[in-house]
Amino acid sequence: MSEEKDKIKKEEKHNEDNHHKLDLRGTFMMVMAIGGLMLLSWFGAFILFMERM
Amino acid sequence: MHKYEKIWISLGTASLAVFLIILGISAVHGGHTPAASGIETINPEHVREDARFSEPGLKEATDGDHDYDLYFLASAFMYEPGEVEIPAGSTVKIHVTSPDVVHGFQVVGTNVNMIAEPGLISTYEMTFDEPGEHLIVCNEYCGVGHTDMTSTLKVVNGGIANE
Amino acid sequence: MSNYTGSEIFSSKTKVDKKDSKLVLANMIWVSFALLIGGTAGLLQTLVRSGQFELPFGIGYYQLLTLHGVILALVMTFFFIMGFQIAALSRTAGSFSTSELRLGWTGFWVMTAGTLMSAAMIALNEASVLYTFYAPLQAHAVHYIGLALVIVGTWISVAGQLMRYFRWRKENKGQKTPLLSYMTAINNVMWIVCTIGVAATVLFQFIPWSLGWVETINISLSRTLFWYFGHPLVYFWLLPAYMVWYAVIPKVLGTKGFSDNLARLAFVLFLFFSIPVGIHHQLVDPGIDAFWKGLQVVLTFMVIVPSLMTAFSMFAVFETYGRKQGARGLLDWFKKLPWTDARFVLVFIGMLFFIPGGLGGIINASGQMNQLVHNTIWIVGHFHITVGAPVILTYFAAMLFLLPHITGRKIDKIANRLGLFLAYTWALGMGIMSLAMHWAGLRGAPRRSAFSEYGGADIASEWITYQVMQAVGGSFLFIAIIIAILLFLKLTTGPKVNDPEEFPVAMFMDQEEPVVKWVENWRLLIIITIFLILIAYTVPVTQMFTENIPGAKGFKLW
Repeated sequence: MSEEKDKIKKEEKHNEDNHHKLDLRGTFMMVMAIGGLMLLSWFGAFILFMERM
Repeated sequence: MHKYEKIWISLGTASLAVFLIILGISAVHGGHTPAASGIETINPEHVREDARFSEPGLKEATDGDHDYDLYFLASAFMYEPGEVEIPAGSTVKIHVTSPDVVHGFQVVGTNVNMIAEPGLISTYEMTFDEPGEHLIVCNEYCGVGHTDMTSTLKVVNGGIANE
Repeated sequence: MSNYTGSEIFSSKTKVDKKDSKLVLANMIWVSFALLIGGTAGLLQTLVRSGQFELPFGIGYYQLLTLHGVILALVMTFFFIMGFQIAALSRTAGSFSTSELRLGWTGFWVMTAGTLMSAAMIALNEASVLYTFYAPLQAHAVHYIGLALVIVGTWISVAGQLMRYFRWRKENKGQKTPLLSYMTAINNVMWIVCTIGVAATVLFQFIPWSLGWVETINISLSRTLFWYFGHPLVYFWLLPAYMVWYAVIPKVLGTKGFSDNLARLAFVLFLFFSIPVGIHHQLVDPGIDAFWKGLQVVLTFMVIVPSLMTAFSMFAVFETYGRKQGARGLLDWFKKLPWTDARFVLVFIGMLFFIPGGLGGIINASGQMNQLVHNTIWIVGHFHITVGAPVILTYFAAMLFLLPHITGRKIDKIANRLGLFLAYTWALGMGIMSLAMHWAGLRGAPRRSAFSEYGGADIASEWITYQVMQAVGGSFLFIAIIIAILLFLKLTTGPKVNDPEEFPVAMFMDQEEPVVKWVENWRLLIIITIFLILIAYTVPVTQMFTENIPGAKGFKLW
């Protein structure tokens, strides 16, 4: 069991070192797309609100 | 935190802040505070003895910077008045209350959308520029006859504004 | 058995204790039953609103709508959350003690009694006041007492869960608490703080008033206390789904979660900001000053931030997994995801629905812009693509592994295929129905309304076209519910196996990093939570007492 734990620990350390080096270009693109949709939908609703004012 | 996550959270939060600033400016400078805000009380059991609601409808304003006061009584299951004409281009302060349960007051196609509660008067000021007809519906459940509650708001050219 | 650490928590062989499993199963039986009843009511509602169908046996539309709301929004979700959280604690912190388990069972039976009392009143048409029970529509006192018992039942169950959590902390001083256990504690503490509001209005306002002990009721106060509870309620539904997203799904993929510490931080933010925001449901109510509406709008926007964090973490897990499987391009990691595993597909489709759901929520909460959509059917569309898709589909995914796990079975091919059918049918039905609701709502169609032509108004005939679409969507959803019930039966019957289905619990990339200390400083967390509530609510609630708003007598208008 402790061997297993050590192995896990080593692996963890390895992963942690790479945490900042993860390639997350796709993730960035997806969240930016969500951000874009957020701006579009909100301003769309705001314009409709002002039109009905 | 990953570099991209920092950018995303910063931009996301900044967008939300921009939304709030726009809403704040529109509320304070455009006079667009949320409908029915404020506390104006009325005894629900004596609503009809109140001069304003004894004969609800359109009345010329005596104070404030609006042209007309429009009084609406929302009760189970009708609106009084059942139809109202508003001269195009006039600014109207709408006052709604209920003698019984909670009702909605929504002028379809406009931003007039608020809750009417017994004991309180809901108000909203609105300028009606475009001539046309708007359905008024109750959008808060009030009982079996809920969907029978309708009225019509007609924005007309001429009318008493030009007399 | 009670001292779980490290590898035991993450071992795929670790199981929910047998005795605890029985309690979990009891809760899940209620979930299935409530889903079937509530779903049937929902189908009938969409059919009535299409104008092509009339209810038989003198059943009222609003009676049905009350049933739909109470049985799904309150009963089904509460039983699921209790059952899932007990399972998550038993799995990650270890089995419940006799007294903790007894609290779980007592809570279950009190909730059951309360549900049956309310259900009887709804069936007798004594309580057609919808699930928000706005005064001064006055239901039978037994209905309110039943609802109060449902809440009290959750308190008892939650007490047992919190005892389990704090016992782990005592037995493992200085260690990082298992993430899932920590998350249940956050949700439970939020629940106790927010249900005080609804308990206060039911016990001190509705029950004395419906029994005739007092003649009138303070409506503004009752609405405000309801929504003080009503908004955190939606996070109470959502957080168990987030538990699955953060702490289960990475293991389903066979990879690691993105960040344990950020997940805890997101949950802390939910605790802080999900409660002092209830007035955003009352943006067009009279009796509240514009300033306090505005302040709660700002606080509401704060609660969006942890969901932004969640979106990033989820995509990061998926991308990291896909790249490990050999994806190289910008988005080809999507292709590597396990598209044939129903546990994943159910959750993923739920996540997709949450994107428009969240964006719509921002619009609804935007102060004066609420007038565009307030009490229109847009709002109904909104909560059907939040609680009615991401949350419920994740619940289904959780039941997919939990039911065989606690009954000693495995997900077989047929069950997995049923799960996939369920996901796609639900997506189709909810997609059609919610889209039609959103569009009709923007055109002014009101919610909570039976079929009406509104005196033949042109605009109303336009709404009816959308209502027919809603009935089409509703029909697909009903088929999906039948699939779900068949799936649950499949998962709990058939031959038992020696190595039952896994309750997946993921490790995180920062598993070995020390936990940020203050996130488990409960005194600090509760002080901040209460401080924010006092800022948001002290003045508006005080005004409801001091402004001499006349009380209202009760009415029974159905």
